[in-house]
Amino acid sequence: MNASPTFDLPQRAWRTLASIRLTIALCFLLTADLGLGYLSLRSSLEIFSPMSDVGLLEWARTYGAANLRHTAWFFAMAGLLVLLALNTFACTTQRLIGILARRPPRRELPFRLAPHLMHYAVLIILAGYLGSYLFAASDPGRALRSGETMTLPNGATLRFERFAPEAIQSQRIDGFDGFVLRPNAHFTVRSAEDEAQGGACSTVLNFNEPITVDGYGIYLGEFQPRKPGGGMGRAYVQLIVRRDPAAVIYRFGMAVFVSGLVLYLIGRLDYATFILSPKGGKR
Amino acid sequence: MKVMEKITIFSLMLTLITVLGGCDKEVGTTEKRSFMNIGEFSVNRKQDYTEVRDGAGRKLALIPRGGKAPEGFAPTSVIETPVRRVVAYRAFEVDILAALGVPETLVGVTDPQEKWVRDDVRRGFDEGRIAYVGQSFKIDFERIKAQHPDLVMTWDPSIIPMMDSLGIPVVVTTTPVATCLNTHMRFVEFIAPFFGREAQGKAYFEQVAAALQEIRDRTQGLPPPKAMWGDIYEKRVLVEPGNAWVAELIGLAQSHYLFNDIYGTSCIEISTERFIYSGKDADLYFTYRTPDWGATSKAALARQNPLIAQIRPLGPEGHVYAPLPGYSQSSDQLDQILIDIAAILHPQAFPGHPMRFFVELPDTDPVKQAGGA
Repeated sequence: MNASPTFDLPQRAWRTLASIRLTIALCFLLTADLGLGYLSLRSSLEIFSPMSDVGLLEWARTYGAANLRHTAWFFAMAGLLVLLALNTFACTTQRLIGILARRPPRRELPFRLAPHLMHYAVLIILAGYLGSYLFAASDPGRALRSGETMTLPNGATLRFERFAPEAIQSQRIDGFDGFVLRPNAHFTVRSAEDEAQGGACSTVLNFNEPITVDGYGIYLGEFQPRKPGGGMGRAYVQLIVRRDPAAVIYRFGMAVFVSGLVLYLIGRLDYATFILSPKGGKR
Repeated sequence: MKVMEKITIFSLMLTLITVLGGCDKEVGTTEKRSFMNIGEFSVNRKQDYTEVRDGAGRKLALIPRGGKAPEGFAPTSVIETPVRRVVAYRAFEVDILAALGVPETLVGVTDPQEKWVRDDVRRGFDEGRIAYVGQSFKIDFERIKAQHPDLVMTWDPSIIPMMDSLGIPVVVTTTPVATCLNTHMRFVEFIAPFFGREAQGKAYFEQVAAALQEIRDRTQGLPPPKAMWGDIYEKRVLVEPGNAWVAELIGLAQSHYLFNDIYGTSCIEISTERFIYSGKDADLYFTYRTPDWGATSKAALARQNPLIAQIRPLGPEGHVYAPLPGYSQSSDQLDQILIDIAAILHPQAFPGHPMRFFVELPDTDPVKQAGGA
């Protein structure tokens, strides 16, 4: 007896979502879309630069909507990524159910689940970044000269003390000998609690080495001088203050991905060892 | 498979929209919206105030004089409009004030009186309204304070904490990368709301856009010359990158800009080898130096730095152009500047055009005759 169409619809939708054909179609479309995005970014980068400062929704309402000719590819990409995430979730879950249904030995189970764990991790990372672009608050224009103090909204303070720059000392990059590679901006940080109790700590800020104070991320946006004697006599750091409640999500996703990768590699190593062993080879 | 097909068709439609959207930048268009972005700058009109985003990404609120400050803005991020007293770091901003018809609002500049060729600025100095507030990288903050400005327009974000402590609002008028032609032309529309001069800003933009259209029409189909813009200094080689407005203008005027592949800030540093390599292929060379700074002839440039003598424009078949002192202080006549540059690139398209902002350098300095005038 055939199932009624109403009853069949969720199953058909699920099967379609889990289809590898859909994955391939989405990958082709994403490739084409990102190709257009590359060309668009080359000519209109300034439209996209404010996105991380103003947030995705505000950006979509303002820069995105006002420049649709240049941003349509981005909205298309967002739609395609949502579809790809749904496809990955459905596909992975279907496989997972299959593995569990076959009741593999308990010892092998983590290794068999490892690839699927990585797929879920990618979804968590994507969700984390989406949350970050939706809910993070950013203040990009905070400049400080040596000896100046900045107060965060919660009362914590950062005092910029000095630079201890490390410069490029080689002819490795033509024309850049003597340029500062790591500014090593020294800060005295007092968290809101420190401010009440009189404590403080010293820390160093660099590109890709932000400072975290009471949930606020302090990032280095710009600094001068870029080389000794440069900067036209000015020495300052420009900071980006960012509060990102979703950061914990994508960091968790990254941890899950690494765990899955380690499990997968151990599983493969275990299998290779078995195959190469005299006992395994005779199998 | 129908669902699959629908999804694929939907995705294809999205992609098609993107394709139709294209990736070309429409120089010379403006949109009537409550939100307007001019490159990275933006103007967002809200119910009770106007929110602007400056070149450093800072949000400022423009409110009518005596109006209520919106929530969420620091006191120095709220600016009462129309602004009445301005300190401007760059000549470009001074020119924009003139273009908007508010030159009398200028009360401070970072060049002394003798460096100015603008009559309105020299007159302002004579009247005692305008003060020299120190070199832009060695500002005299007390002098700025004494001028009681409502606003400081600067390229230097490092002054913001000091200005905050003085209670003077600051707007950062440059971005980390060079502004494109569209942003350069429309920057006036970013400044106009500070003075309640939106209509004048629009008129200025339309005037410049008309000049650009004239350039497009006149240069269409002409053989493209190869041009370069920059200079070799004692220790550095600086050029205009491919994303700078002059580079875009050269492209729009049916010409090849030889540093089109370079991206970054205006006056970006490159290697000497690259400069000379591109220079061997160039027909035209625009130097940064004015005749006052030694650009009096090709021979004079070669004497200052013998390396530059290797580039083709310094030879007998090339052409070298130097900006006149008024060039950097005449952006209120941007339309004329654009036409001057186009006339240099394609003299046959602008027969009899009198140069106002550039001068072609002779091979050698004129010999002073004994007893001559």
